[in-house]
Amino acid sequence: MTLSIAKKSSAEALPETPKNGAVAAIQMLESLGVDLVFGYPGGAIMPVYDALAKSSIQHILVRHEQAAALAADAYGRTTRRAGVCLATSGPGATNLVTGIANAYMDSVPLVAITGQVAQPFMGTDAFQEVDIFGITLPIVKHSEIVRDVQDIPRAFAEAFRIAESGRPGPVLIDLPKDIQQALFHEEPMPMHPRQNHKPLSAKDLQAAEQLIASARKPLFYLGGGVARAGAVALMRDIADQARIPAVATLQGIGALPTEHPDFLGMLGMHGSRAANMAVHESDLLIVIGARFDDRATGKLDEFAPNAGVVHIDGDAAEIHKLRRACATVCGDLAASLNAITVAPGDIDDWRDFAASLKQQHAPRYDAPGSGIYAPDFLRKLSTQAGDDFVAACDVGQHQMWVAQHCRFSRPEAHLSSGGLGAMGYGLPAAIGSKLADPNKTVFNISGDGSFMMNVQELATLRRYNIPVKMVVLDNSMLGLVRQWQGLFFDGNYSEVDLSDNPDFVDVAEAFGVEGFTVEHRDEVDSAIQRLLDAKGPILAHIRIDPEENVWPLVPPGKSNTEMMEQGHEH
Amino acid sequence: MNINNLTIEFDSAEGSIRRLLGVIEARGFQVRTMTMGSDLERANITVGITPRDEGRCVNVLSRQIARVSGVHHVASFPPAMVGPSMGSPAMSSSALAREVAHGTC
Repeated sequence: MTLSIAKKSSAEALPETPKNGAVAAIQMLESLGVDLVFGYPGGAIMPVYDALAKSSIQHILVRHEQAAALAADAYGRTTRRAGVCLATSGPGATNLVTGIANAYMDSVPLVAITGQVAQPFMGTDAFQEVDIFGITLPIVKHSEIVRDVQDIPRAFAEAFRIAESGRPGPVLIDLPKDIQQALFHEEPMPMHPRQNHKPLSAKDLQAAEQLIASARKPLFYLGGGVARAGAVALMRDIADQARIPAVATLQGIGALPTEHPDFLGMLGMHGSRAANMAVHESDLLIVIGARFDDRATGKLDEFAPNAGVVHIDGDAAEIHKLRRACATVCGDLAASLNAITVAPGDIDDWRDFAASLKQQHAPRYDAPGSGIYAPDFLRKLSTQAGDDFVAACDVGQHQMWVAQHCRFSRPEAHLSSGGLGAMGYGLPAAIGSKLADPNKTVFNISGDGSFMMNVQELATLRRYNIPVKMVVLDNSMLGLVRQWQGLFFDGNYSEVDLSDNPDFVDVAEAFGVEGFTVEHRDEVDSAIQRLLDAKGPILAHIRIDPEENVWPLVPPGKSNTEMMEQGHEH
Repeated sequence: MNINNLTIEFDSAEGSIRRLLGVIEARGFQVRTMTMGSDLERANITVGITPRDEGRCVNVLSRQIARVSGVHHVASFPPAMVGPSMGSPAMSSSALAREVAHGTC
């Protein structure tokens, strides 16, 4: 069975009166512009699903609630509008938790709606009762249990405003079943004006501008905040005019195109040597929408030891959190980039030095043997797919290879679970991305460990015929754990052998999805073409060397200049 | 033991106290003392807190609390000046951010 994912017709619109809370909730979603939600029904959310079936909103039935939250996350990253996921109470709600945490860690707009047992049963250990409000308190930007049916419009409007404004994040709405069933009386909703950022401080801007003008070795340090604020075009204009070398965090990849002449790559644990060396040499980091994450900084005490910091961010709580800044510009990030004048002095020598680092430490793709070298495969895949290429990754070695070697034209093209590092993100994220922007060429790049964590979503691909292209890089290992056990645990390999994996092509075909296996280097070009030519979902099972490692690597607790390279010679 | 005191004014809403205490504890502080007052719409708590390790900064915590939805004011007081009735100025989150930008963390 293949279901249409076209928008529903308005003829299916909900009746105006009388209505219950569930109908009010769905109508509120419609009025907020929601046309697609991801979810899974169950007892305590049944009134909402009853209303949903009669609404204009398209529902994507996933096969595990975690996938609903992760797909909604990717939808949010792609559109910069809150993705929406729905689940029932109890296990349905707890299954959303990983996805909510993922959105929180990476500052993604998301609204999660959970059914809850009726209020008289709350606190009685009722069937499928769980305190999801309490469970998710540390991982939401905001949350609310709706206690009065008349509060539904306000609660929903507020949820979307909070999720999408400022530093985005997830918001949870818990809807007790009696609220869903209660009679809703139409009342005009008081409108709360959108909160505006405080005006930027002219003094702060001037201080930042002076530091930039006087720096001899300035360096842009770009984070995910650039894309979240919709400031990519501004950032690119500034970079093109200032010609200051730039590095990016995992979430900041795509803020500048991969091939930008001043872009040195990702910094940090698996960053490029050029990026890490430039950070070490820099006398001024211009940090934009980044938070000094430990995977980016390595040993914080020794991070950028010669540099002052200009920190430009939308979230005051990130200022001075881990690294003291000499100058700060705090406010709406796009407004900040619009207001600041980035005019460096004579930095020709520094620019030349950075360019020489980039050239000197460019990755090599001439691996020996006839097996498939994953970095080379990924580079070719992303290049041949062109500007429409989107990679939704899982977590592990393949994730780092994607970040290091793929070509990205924009931030939304690189969907990666950065802060949380959630294996199983990739396939649901690819679904969310493809539905958010159907014109893009969306790949799920996964490893054999990660792919199995949400493998059931092959059924979702098949159900809606979503043309996601899956690449499973199979080393029959939990490769990154194996790498660390080899390097830092004396080769005591503990529970990393996945040689009993199923045949991934058989698995795909069992779900009704086309699949094929690639084992030799001379098959790579035809495999990429087959993937690109496919009209429906397709899976390429790529066998790679189980001994292949990700390089460079900054060992835990070490400075970013202490990178290990292939052969550990550095 | 050096106890820092924070006064937080916030909307009286379900879960607010759990949320605020959760931020304080999750960000590396122990709650040593607490007083609370409220009316129908607003509540305030004054908490005496100590960091779990020397890397924790009260000003950073104050900004993390200030960004919580429904929080109106966060102010820190020296130990001898607990509570808003002592006349110490409460501070909006943006003002607090500006102040700490020019002071310690």
